[in-house]
Amino acid sequence: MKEKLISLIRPLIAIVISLILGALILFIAGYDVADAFGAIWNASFRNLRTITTTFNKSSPLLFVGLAVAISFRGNVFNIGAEGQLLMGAVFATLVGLYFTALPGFLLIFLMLLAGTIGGALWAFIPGYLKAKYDVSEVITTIMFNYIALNFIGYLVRGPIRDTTQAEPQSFSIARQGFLPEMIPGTPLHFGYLLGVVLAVVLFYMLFKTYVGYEVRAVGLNKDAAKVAGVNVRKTIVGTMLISGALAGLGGAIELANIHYLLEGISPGYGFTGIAVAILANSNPIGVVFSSFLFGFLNAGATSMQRSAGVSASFVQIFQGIMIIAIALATVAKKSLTKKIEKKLDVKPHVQVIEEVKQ
Amino acid sequence: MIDRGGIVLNVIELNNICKAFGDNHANQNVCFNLKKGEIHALLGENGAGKSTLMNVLYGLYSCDSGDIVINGDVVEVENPRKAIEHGVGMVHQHFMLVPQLTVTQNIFLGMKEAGLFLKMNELEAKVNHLNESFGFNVDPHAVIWQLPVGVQQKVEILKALMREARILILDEPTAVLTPNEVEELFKSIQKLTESGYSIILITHKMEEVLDYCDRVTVMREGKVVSTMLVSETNHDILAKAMVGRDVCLDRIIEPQDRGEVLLKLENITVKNDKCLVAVNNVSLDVGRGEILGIAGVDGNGQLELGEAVVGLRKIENGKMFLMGQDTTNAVPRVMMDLGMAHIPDDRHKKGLVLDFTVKENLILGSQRDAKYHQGLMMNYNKVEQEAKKMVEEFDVRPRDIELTGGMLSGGNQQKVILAREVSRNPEVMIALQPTRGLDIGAIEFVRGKLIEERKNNKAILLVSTDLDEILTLSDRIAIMYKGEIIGMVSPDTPVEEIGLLMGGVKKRTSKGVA
Ligand SMILES: Nc1ncnc2c1ncn2[C@@H]1O[C@H](COP(=O)(O)OP(=O)(O)O)[C@@H](O)[C@H]1O
Ligand SMILES: [Mg+2]
Repeated sequence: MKEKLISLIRPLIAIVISLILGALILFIAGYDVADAFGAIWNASFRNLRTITTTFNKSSPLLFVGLAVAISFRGNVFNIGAEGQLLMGAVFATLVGLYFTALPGFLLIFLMLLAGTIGGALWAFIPGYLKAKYDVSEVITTIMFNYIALNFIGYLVRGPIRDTTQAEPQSFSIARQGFLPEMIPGTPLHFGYLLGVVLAVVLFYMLFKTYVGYEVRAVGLNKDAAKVAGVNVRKTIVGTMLISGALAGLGGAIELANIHYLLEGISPGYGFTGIAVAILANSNPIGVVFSSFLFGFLNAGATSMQRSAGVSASFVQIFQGIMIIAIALATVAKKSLTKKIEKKLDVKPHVQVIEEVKQ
Repeated sequence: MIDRGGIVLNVIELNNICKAFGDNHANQNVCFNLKKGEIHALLGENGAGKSTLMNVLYGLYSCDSGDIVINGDVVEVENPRKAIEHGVGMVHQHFMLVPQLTVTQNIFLGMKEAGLFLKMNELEAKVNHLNESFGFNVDPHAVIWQLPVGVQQKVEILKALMREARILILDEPTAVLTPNEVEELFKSIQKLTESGYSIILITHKMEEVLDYCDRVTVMREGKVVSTMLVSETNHDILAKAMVGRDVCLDRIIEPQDRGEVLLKLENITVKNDKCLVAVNNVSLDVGRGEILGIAGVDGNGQLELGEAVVGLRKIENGKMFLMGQDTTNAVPRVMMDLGMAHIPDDRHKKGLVLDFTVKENLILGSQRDAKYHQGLMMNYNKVEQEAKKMVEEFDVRPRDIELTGGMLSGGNQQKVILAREVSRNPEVMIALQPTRGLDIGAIEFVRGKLIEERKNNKAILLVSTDLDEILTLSDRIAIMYKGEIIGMVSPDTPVEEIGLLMGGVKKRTSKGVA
């Protein structure tokens, strides 16, 4: 119980610290702090439309955040959510372009399914290589990001290029494949709702099912899990598959949301997703909130630049500070518990050295 | 130290020390004294409050009440610097040396004497001087990380001596040492006491007390049980004082018939991590109701043998049968489903998920048992119910199933593993070094459980480098030497003979009981 409370307090502290530091930076740089923060706030909370836009923007972050969170729980460092999201978008595009005869519901379903499979496939290979040959997933997934990105570049410049457009991009998917709005007239779509539902499902899976138990056991101590008869390789591959599937699904939803494929479909969602997962302490429910926070900041970035004259990059600095703060909070908590355990054994020497130095 | 009246004064007197951490009264009215030139053991089980008491003396904790008398004066020891000023030095179990620096650099690190510009030659001469005086034999040029732990510990002691400590506190100094290093350490300690140094030795090993110390103070649950002259005490008295009841580590196995063979190895060969043959052509069988002990000096292949049997290491050659089925190179899951339980040699690495709660650890490996889930969903109510029963039956302290595994003491961690494995109701049990590093109460408990399992007609394979343990528990003893079973003897074989076998000397006359 205490553990659960601490896991809640930590991100909050991180957010507060970064607010203070962020304000300080703005102040030192000579900006009006209230103006800048006000602009970010307004950009999201001015009216229903802006709020729903923020939800819309946090949708891909929600999916990749979940993807990274589950991989962290299983102690796989999936840096490849970006590439998996891109492959998800590619698969969805192909379905949306070529199955134009299908009715809307079925088409959307097929697009999302294809995206999920695409993402899972893209994660399967690094997962398999790690499980079987102990190849670092960090390196393989980063490589796979580049492959996916360049593959999109090839597609939208060649085979599926919409030549009526100046910029390289694909044709638009079939009209009935557009993602339906959840609140009519707003950009909030059903994909977001699906993400929230999946977050809850994932939470239950991780903490209430034996599959999740095994994922966490492998994540925390793979030797002990192996001794206890858990199939560690299978679990690692499975974790990667789920992770990739989530990222791919996020990509498919984003594609169905903007309707055509382009190289810049993801402004690095997969990487922001790492931050989202860390801020949420890899808790799926927490990811819902942290992804919204990041979406909110991103949504406010441009409007802050417009009305307060602060560069939009400030938001990235701000997000960076938040990650450092959360990392510090994590370390602080660890050393706190360690202190209680090892106070007798470790601290004394440090102290002695310090004492004697004086 | 002779006082005005000519009475021997205590260099240290701790009077009625009380120290509580919240509700946990780690020290209650503890009185302790140290005479000049003696080795005084502070003996007690884990958690008895030994380290707490010494940390109070060393100024790391302030006591709630009581006073500290050093050399006849009541003193306030607010911090370790004060303690050092009063001539008290302490060596903790985990060293704080800078691995990249040399011995001399470490010893003088932070000392004013070193000055701003290091005169290494002078400093090294000082180290050598101490070396010679007390037979430490530490190379002052050596870089710390290249030194074995035993030597690193000497560096820690040298550090304290260089700071002119006359009273040395050593907290469980032998926990990390090999038997040879232990002997060397005590030789140096004896030299120190001859030169008038006084030593407090914290330990939970009675042999050390009996072999090397002058007096002993036994602590239990935060209180002093008694202080005795070592010459007037013995193993049994100390054990009883420590644990609070009679402890029996004697052989109490009743003869019993050996039943059908449940585990059988036929000419198996296994390689170690370096890909060298560690187990060479070994054949064994273990039957119902017997404990087969595998004795041997550490590193003769017994652990690799154990790991191969539980499915963690490849059997290169030969066959293994469990419950009559061929399980050569089967995965652990298959072995477990056939009725094998496993107490791994490394609790932290292989036995527990330290970040899991006790209740989660208690079902590790059983998470897919029908009783613990409905469909995919775990039934945590049932898990809690069973976990509570297990901690009760196996006396896991504290009885809190929500604590994480890493917060338990070694003995209680082992109890969690034992509870988990035994309650799976296995037919065959593989116990690898099951009592290593535990204190005497926990050792008794673990051994008692193994004996109980034997009585319940389980087949038990016990691998231990502790010959006493093998002798107390086994029905038959296989001695391993360089990967081979060099002899199979009964437990009433003279120890000398077994010792010879462990050293690789085969006697033709040794009576086998294979
Ligand atoms: N810093 C601390 N905070 C809280 N409890 C502690 C602390 N240090 C020790 N304790 C508790 O005090 C008791 C005595 O511990 P300790 O002195 O380390 O025992 P020993 O050294 O005899 O094994 C234990 O119950 C332990 O959990
Ligand atoms: Mg201690």
